[in-house]
Amino acid sequence: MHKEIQERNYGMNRRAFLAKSALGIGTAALASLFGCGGAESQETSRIIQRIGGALGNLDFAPKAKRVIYLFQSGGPSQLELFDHKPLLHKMRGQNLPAEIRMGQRLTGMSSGQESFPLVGSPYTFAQHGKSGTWMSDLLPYTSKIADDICVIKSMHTEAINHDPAITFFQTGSQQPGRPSMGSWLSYGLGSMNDNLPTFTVLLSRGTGRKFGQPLYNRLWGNGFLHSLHQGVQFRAAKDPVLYLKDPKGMDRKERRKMLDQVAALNELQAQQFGDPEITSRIAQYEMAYKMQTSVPEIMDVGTEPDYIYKMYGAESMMPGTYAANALLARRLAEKGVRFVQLYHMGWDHHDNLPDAVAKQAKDVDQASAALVMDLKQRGMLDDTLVIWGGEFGRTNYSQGTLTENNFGRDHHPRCFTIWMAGGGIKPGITYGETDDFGYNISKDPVHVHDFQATLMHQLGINHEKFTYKHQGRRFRLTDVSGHVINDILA
Amino acid sequence: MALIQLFGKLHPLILHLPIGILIYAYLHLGYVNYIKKKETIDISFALLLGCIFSLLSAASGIVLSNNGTYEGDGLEVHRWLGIATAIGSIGLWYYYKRVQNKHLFFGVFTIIVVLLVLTGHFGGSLTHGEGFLSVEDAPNGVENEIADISQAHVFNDLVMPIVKRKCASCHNPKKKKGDLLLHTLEGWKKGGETGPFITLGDSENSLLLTRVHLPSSEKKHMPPSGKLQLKADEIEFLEWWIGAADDFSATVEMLSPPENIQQFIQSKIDPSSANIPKIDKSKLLAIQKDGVPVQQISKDLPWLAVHYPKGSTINNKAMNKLMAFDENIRALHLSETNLNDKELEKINRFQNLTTLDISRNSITSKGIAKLTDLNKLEVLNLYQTKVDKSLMGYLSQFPKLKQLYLWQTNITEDDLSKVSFSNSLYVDLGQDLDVFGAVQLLPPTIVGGKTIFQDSISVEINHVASNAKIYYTLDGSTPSANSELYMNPIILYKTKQINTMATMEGWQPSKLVSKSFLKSTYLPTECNIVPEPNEKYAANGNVTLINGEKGSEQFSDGNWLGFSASDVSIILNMGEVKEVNSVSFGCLQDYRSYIFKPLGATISVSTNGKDFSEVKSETYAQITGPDDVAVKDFIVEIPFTTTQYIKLEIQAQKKNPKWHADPGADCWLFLDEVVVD
Repeated sequence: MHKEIQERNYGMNRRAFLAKSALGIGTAALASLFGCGGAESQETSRIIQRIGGALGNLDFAPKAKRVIYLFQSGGPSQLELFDHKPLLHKMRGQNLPAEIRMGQRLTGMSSGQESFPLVGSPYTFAQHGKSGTWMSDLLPYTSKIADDICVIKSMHTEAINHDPAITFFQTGSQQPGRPSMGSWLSYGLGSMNDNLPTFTVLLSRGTGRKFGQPLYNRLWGNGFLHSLHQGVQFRAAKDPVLYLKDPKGMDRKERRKMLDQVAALNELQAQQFGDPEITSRIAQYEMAYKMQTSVPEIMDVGTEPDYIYKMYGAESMMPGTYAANALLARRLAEKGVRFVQLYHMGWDHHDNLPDAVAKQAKDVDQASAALVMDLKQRGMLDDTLVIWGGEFGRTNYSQGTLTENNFGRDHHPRCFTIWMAGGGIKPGITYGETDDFGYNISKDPVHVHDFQATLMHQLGINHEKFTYKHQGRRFRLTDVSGHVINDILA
Repeated sequence: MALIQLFGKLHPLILHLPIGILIYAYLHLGYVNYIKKKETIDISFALLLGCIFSLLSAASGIVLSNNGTYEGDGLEVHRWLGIATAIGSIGLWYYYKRVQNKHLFFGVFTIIVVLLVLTGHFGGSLTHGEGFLSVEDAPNGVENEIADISQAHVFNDLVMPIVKRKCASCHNPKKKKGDLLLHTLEGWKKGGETGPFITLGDSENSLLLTRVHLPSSEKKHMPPSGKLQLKADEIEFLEWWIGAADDFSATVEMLSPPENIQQFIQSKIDPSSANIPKIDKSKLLAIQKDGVPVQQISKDLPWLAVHYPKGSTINNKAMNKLMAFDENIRALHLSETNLNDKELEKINRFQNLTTLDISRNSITSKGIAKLTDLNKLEVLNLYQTKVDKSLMGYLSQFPKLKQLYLWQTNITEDDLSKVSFSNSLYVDLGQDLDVFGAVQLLPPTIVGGKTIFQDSISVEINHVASNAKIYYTLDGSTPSANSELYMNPIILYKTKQINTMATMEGWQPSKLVSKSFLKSTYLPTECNIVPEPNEKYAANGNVTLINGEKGSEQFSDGNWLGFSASDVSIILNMGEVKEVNSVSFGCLQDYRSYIFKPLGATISVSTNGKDFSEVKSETYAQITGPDDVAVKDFIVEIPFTTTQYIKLEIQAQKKNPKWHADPGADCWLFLDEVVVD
């Protein structure tokens, strides 16, 4: 008769049956190990989605329960903030030696340039804290938490333009279509709360470059995972989450009734067609209903005391700023949100860098430091992993004309700096080194996949085992590489 | 229904039948093949019986598994293997009747028997527990249970387990590589063919360390490449031990290891987890179903963590259910969950707790006094509770405490200074807010849709902080706390610039913000511009300047006229003679786009449009470095004049200043809306 209908009735097709029975002991075992077996009853699987996640039991005892990722979109200049290179002052204006560049591919924006005049940072560097971590005077507050953070100076990536580079950081692949890091964790670890999404996203625009590149919302997309796991964006507007409010004239009771009816119809539909997206949808309607009360509560930062605003900076009073988002991130983390992803745009300084980078740094410096300190005094830093960093770094030479006090820097994937704090990362250390030109890594390189592997390790996941089968292939966040950087683990 | 359930329960009985029958037939067939005789039993009948009972076993097994007593990964595997075996045995019976090649048949039979055995094994694991067959390996730590780390025997308890695991597989009586025996103390003392193995007290010249430290590419590097390597912390530990020990009998206490080694030793000896009952998965799932957020820490450990999100409520039932796991619970997070002192008695039952977060609850020191049994506690979070300095007296209940959070309690720095803590205890009293210095308040926002108005306009000023006080001036002066306090929207009848700032107690006054509101009393009827604007930025032509639409911060929005490297002269025809007292014009500033504000402006008037007489000339300061993108309004006030024609000459920057990224290049003047009042 109709093959598809038969398959649907048995919940399986011939291939799957053979794979599962006679031929595929391994497949069967794996399938159940990784939760794609569908063995649990529906009720159990819902509970697992809520607290357990697909992974059930973790590979390692986790050091971190949640992540706050302060993504600095656009590629902050490591040479103005963390990576102190006096040689660049000495060699100011001289051409970047070919043996240092070693054929590095350039962006279309500076590939036509005749010379690559080296330029040092106009900002003053000093060592801070007991750890003696180098930072420039653009980061007066971050330098106060030098002993709480681990600065990685030897990050490197494969991409050279914004979108592929951010996509690479977030999904482990330069091509769009894979699930974002937050979605992976939502899928694997499940939620720690009942009425907020597991993965939330907060955006802010920087003052250094107001009209910089926008971000696509696929960066927090679920890829091939259930849409249940996609990031939910909270906006700084009257409706923080779009389409959440009841329409005029509908009260909550009425809403409840409607949802119950819709859910019943959807259940019916799910039984008939077995499309997992239908069950996802039921869960999402339910979540949206709960968020109708939980979101206004979390967004009402008016309940925070005055000293908290002072700590995060005056801008934290202004919804939609980075500072306000940092404060909101803490509130979400307290409520059990697993992954809070901030994006601060505007770090892409191809020209007029000295001015623009100072403004960007001012946007984020105080609030980032305050967030770490605030988590610490609440005893939450131990199990919250905070990450600060962009998608790549910037070149040691000027893009465009180098003038007395103005220059720009192009994208640079070979080395850049990020920092991490809490979540079982060794505090007060600097990991990795770059050469005197600040162009190549001279010690302990950390690839984006290594960073992802380390992040997963801190959450108790073995990145090599955490896979999802899609279109005949098992996918990982770290694709086919990545090593945990043991030296930075506390 | 009950009958079906009963059928399921018969599974353990039925399953033995196919095993017995099929294996008997298999062995018989094998035996007669071997002695080259004909079979003496009815193999066909045996296979038929086997396959009937296989089917019954599989069916009853499926019924049994659906009632949910069993679970886990093994169940899945067992289920599918069982089904495969049943189907395989039908095939076997069917195949036997048509068999051509006896050897091939025997091969197929072998596969079925293997399947059968595997099914049996996984089924056995389900009932008897996993690993009931395997003989325990020596654990990756110590063999003997050690109650007190300081009394642990360094060589026997710590060194030997490492060496046995990673070295003694080759250096033992069977293999005797390099004539070195490492499984006993005698072997250690004797050394191998290269000489003494170690010299206690001399970490520089011990062969063990030399070999371990050789680069792994060297042939003599130990353990040889491909074998299980020593970890960095293990090498560090061995190095420390060889340097510190005088003889093989030293205990940890005698050698007083430094902190990093102490940590390593602790990680190897964890006496606390030795006698902890295993987690009963079905019980755990039942609690999770009730909404208790409890999770197994990791698959290899018997520990559980409970984490309630802030602001949840915990009912007694949930707490009582957790008691079933009282020994397993290692971390308990109950921040802001309406706990009181009384409930801490229950928490005292969780004796293996290492992390306890009871912050943001109304808990006092008396409550903490009840936590007498939590002697393994390492992290105690009491921030925003009501504990006071009497807490200090109870801290001795927690000998292993490493982190104590006391922010926003009644305990002061002074109270802490009176008590002596061990060095390893970190006490957090909250962050020093002075780090952030005096914080400047955000400026207010001036809300006003259009900035050009005909008769009057109402302007609102807002501030994000509801307690902020907003002050403003209308005369161009800088506002202060003595200026007009903003209460209600300001109504303007004239061209005015509003300057405003805000203050709030405990904050530094905000920056000043200003905005101009331009009254357009007369609309010019005609407007001549010399030179013509650049064709790319010509907008709607000359009318653009007098259409009542102001340009935005985006130079390409179609409301701006752009002039490249040139001064601009504009003649306005008012249609008839009018009384004029101010002329204003808008300019854009966007240095990145090579757009600069003007350097000066001159106003001349004429009644015939030919002979102009100058009435006012102003100069403006240029920015001396990068500045924000901004729309600037220039208001030129002139003495009351009656005139029909007004000439506005604007002096442009023309070339990029020296500090610009492209110094000396042509730059732009962007003009919009000329307003006459």
